[in-house]
Amino acid sequence: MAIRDRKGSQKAGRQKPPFEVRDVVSAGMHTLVLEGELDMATAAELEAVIVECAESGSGLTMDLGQLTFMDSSGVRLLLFAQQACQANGAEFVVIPGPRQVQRVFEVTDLVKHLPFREPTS
Amino acid sequence: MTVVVHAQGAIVHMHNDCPASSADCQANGGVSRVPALVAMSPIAYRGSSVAELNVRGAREKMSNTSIRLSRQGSVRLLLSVLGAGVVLLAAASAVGASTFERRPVLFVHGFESAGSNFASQAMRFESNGYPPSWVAEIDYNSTAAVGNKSEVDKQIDEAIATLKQRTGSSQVDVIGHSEGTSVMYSYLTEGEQAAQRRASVARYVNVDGQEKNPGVPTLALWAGRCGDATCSKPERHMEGAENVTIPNQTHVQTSTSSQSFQQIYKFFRGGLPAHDIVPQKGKIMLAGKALEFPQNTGLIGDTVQIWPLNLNGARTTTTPLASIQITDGSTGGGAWGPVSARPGQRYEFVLLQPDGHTIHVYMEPFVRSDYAVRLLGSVPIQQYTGKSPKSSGAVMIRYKEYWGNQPGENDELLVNGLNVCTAGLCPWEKEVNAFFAFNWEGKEESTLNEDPVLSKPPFLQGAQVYVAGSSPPSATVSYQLNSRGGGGLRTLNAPNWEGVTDQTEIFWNDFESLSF
Repeated sequence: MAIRDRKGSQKAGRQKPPFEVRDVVSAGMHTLVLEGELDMATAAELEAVIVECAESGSGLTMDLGQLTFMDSSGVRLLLFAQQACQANGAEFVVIPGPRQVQRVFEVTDLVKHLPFREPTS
Repeated sequence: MTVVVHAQGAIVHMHNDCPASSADCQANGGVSRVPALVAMSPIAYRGSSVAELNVRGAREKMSNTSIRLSRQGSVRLLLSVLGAGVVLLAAASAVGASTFERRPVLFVHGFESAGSNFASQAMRFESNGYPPSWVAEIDYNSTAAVGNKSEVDKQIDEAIATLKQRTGSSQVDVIGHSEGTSVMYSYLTEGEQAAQRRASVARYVNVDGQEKNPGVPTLALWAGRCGDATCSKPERHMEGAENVTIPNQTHVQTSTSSQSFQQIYKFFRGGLPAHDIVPQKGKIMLAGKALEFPQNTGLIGDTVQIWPLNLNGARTTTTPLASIQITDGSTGGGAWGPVSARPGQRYEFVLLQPDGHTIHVYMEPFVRSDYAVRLLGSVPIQQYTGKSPKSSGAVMIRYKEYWGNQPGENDELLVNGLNVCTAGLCPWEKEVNAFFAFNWEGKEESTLNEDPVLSKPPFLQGAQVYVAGSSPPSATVSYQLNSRGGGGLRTLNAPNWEGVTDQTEIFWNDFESLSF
């Protein structure tokens, strides 16, 4: 299992997996970088990772910047993450996804109520 | 900086344990994944065959057994919580809850829903002797409440205080659904007022939502079918509560079904209800709210009109039956009515908006008084159904998921004879409660191609359906539902409103047709 940074997963011509998540830990703060297609199967798998991060209490950022697809189970996952962080007193931040993902949050009005923040670098 | 790779592409498909392609799994509605807590046997219920649930295989003549389970469960919870060093004063509410007296009922809806989610259950309570003033629903901003529950807590406080004052009862019974169960858990367990709030709630029903016991006598109802947007695991259970799974029902259906009502009523009153929805003859009353959705703020400045219609959806009078200015723009505001109406009559509800847009709402003929009518204005509805000029667009809403991939149990949803509820667009797992049929592709053809945005949020679906629109209308559009629950083909006809300025909303009953 390779450890790759964000740029490494963007190489042209490579057969990309349908979904990948990387947990980048900096100063105790977890950033889950989601790449590819976030659907029911992948969302279910991610819950345990989110719980682990939230329970660390130091904060969780969900980076949607490299998602190519997200359905209703992805919305559920974001809400789950927010509640898990609240329950553990952990800061929660969402880095916006591409246009097709953000439009889902606009339709549901979640764009106003999830803590979206542009990436710092 | 540490980089940890948690998962790669291989995890895809791992947890889809009831795929659409699995006939056996689908035939069991996914219920095979749920512990065998319930079995179904037909009984006579208001002249029609419905199901009584047998908890843990033993037919309950009365609910005393299950209620005892619940009370014992509360004691266990109390002990375990005390052991953790936290005091939960559940005893105060348990005193009132030991009786099955009639208490006022409050409903707390779920994510992206509104009080109308409870309309049919309210009619069932009223059909079983509850005065309308004893039944209430809050309308809150469910999207905001995911992060901040202070406003909805205040709304619940006010609703319970109003119910107590109106009825003279010292306690209320509460039903929460989906996100409403998280709202209620927080309301009953967090903050300085939690103990006082628990003392006001005699009994609580937690419908297909969170799993933590809120410290009051609780019935946990679970949907037998675990959908994509609302359910992360098929086996759900609340410790210390009475747990009942409603077989072969999906998430929102579980909040509105007669099977759920029987369980709720039995939990509140100690015996099964005598009636399902009882049709009324003569005069009925209609009342509700005009709301901006999903924020659920009152549509201040809008005018609500109610028009009687003929079978073709054309107005039969030159002036509306009622015309009401909305003056309360608060969250949960927007009240209108009551308006005197007739059962069996078709009505069009109009939302005249200050910006010149008009929403035309068509509902099935009312079978009895309904005080939980919600007329929903919505920016997305305007933007999507009104996307293409010279086209007519509609959203068809039902608080019971449309199923299209369950042969023998499918709903047919037809627009001018074309079934839009296909296996691809309405798989039961997608939990579609609002179907947008409109010209998103901008062409004169109904391809049924999925709208790339509306197909993604929970409970929604959107597809390319072309209906020529005209201002003023020049033709009639036929909207039909052949429900999987039976009741025959239902038809709501409406003019072909031009969608850029005039949008159409179709509300189907979540119960099947009743004869007059």
